[in-house]
Amino acid sequence: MDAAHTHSHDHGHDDHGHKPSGIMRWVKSTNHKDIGTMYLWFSFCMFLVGGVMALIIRSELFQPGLQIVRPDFFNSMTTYHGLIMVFGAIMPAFVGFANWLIPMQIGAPDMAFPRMNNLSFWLLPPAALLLIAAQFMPGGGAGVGWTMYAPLSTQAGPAMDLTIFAVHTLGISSIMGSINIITTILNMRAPGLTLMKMPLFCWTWLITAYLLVAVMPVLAGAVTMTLTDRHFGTHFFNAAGGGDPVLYQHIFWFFGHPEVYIIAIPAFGVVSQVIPAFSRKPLFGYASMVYATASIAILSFMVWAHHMYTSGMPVEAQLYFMYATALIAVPTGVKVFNWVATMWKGSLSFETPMLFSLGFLFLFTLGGFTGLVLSITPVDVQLHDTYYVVAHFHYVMVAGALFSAFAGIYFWLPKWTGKMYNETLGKWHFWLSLVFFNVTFFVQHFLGLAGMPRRIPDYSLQFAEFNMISSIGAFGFGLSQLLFLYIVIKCITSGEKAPDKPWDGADSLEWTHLPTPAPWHSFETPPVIK
Amino acid sequence: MNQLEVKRNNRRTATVLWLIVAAFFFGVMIKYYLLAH
Repeated sequence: MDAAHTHSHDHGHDDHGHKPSGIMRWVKSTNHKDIGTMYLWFSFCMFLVGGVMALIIRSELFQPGLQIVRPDFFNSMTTYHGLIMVFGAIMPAFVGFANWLIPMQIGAPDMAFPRMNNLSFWLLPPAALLLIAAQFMPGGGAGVGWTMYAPLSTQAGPAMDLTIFAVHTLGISSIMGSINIITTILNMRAPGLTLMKMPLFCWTWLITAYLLVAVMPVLAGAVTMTLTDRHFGTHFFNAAGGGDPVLYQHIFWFFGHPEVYIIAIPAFGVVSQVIPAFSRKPLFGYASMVYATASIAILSFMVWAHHMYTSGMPVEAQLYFMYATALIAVPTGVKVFNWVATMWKGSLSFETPMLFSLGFLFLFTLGGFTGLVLSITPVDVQLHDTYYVVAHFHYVMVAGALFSAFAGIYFWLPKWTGKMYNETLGKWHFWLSLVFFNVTFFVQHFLGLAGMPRRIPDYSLQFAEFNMISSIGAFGFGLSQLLFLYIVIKCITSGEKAPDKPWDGADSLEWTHLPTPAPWHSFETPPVIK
Repeated sequence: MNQLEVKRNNRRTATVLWLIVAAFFFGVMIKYYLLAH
């Protein structure tokens, strides 16, 4: 590795320190930091688009009866809200973190394949445009749900073709990103930085990238078969032609359940960096964290049919999927225990990143518990497709992944920009998000337990009060995120200069071996780790 | 390890990963094709 860098240093010296400028800096960028920045801004834009869709849904559900949108448009909103938030907002946000942090945390000069990295990112905007353009196709957007179940998806209008193409494009982008991440971590670590010395964020991304490589092609296969069923006379999911629509559900959830962990595991990684830093202690049980993460990833391949208890399956299969799903609570419990044990007798301080991490810890655990409830087959038969499920996965996705992303952004913003954010406003952002998140989603547990089905624009009168509370919470949560945008812009434009190491307990390479802000080219010569 | 070796290692790793991707993508479709026939 030393020789490699001496070589590149000699020949590429003229370029060092010269940042390209103008729009072409971003279009042609092969710099992991610029690409990471683009991922993060793209995901925030998609977060706003998906958020507007959520607010349209909550506006319609503010009162019983149909008052704002047509039912088919409502179905389209639930579909694209899910697709955009999963594939356009949360996943790219964590890929943005990976791009920014992995090379700096392992002492590498950049990602292994910088040009493929550029392509991975630039596939995203056209895919997002396809998802938005689908709304304007004849018949409107495809109201098939983010799961795109057959036979609804094989019979939907032309918007479905755009959606399939968008999913293909997003999938190939994710696959290329994952191959880049695995190759970078396996081959480009600094001398002496063994796998078991890596920061946990790198470990979580290594495991996530393997999950993506395994399941993204499966989703691509599923939507390809949907496409050929629609246009090329195949009958994969058509019972009349010898196919079976339930097969689609199996293949989708073989992708879909690991997808939950593709979103959650990098979030675990961020929190595992933040909590030790603000506890001023090393992470408790590092090795067990690595093994627990790997166990969660392996188990995630074996539990897919717990999403399909009501689709029909032998009771033995129901029992297997129930026990296997409950088993995931064990490694997840190890992780939660380790985060709490890290804080135990630590010298704690509660800056915004720590507050969001604690919010994550409480609320993600709550979402995990409702997941355990749903894993029990007879209970799930009652709660399937109700608002209880909606509440459960929003605790995992929003309070889990999104809060962790906020924690990570506040934590690394000084490193990225060289400036400090406004701590008071950051705390306001946290408390507003925490309160409005719970106002929005906690009541949905009660709606689900009372039997309100998901994906409907109208509902019975007995659900009116909780829906009204949930809609008020949703608008409060949405408006709180505008404060986040203001905090980030204020930090970039007029924030106070950040010290090299603003957080006492931060101990990974980007804090200990690099100045703040991180230079355009970092680790031209790799550090030696003892 | 010189730069050439790093590049060669990177390409090898990526090739193996692309083969896994291809196996899953085509494997699932071939399996379902066989199930339907």
